[in-house]
Amino acid sequence: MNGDRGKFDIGKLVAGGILAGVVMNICDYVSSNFILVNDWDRVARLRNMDMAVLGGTASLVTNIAVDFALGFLIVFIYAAIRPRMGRGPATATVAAFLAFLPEALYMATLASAFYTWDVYVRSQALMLVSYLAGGISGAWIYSEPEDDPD
Amino acid sequence: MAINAGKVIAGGLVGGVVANVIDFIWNTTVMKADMVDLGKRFGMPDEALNSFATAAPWLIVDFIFGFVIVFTYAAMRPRLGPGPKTAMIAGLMPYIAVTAVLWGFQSMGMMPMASFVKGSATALVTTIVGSLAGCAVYSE
Repeated sequence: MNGDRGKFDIGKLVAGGILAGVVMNICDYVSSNFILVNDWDRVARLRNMDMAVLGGTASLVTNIAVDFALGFLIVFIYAAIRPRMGRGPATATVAAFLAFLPEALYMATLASAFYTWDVYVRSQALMLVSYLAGGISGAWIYSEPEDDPD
Repeated sequence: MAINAGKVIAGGLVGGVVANVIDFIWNTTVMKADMVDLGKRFGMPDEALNSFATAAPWLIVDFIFGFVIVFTYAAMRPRLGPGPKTAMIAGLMPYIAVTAVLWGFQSMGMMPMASFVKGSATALVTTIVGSLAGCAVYSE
């Protein structure tokens, strides 16, 4: 890259992204299948969604891939903003927010049409937990050669 | 060095204006039929689809996206360097975050794949042009 603070450690970026993706998938599995299961069922019926498609393999695989993509994204943001904001969980939290905020705002514009507001608030609160847990886990893995050993 | 907050606000406003203008063009031309179809799927009445109350959150969101992108650009500059390449990378961060989640919803049957692809392509253009405009304002 073109900056003056060294290059990304691609290996650590991949490792951090994978860990973040795994953590986010676990969080989403718990929230979708236990905490929000009745909410999603209500939204699906309200919007006449096809339950076979909703719970199908394609949907499951896509959503697993989405969590890995988001995990990589958050760890990439963390690595990119480290020289300015420093390393550690505070910067990982900022990176997670930079990914979460646009998603939450965009979904808010759909809330009145697709969701109901109560489902929106509950699902986004759990998404925030997922982003933060994934981001902090992935950033914990990411380090660079110039980091001082703690 | 601290982030120049004033320039982030100025850049975010410019990026938001540019994104809103481009989104207006997309939504009244290329995406018009898809938006009507999506509204029908969600059971929205036609008058709601064309009302200011429905459009207002989208207008505000484009401005907030502008601030987020310019802040991300400012935070990434020491590592990636100033300039349009970093501006585009900064813009791609929220774009990927939103598009990935929408892809998940698309797979659950929320919208047809054609609408998702068309919407993602138009949003990519909006994001890149808005990012370049907003980040051009930011300096240190």
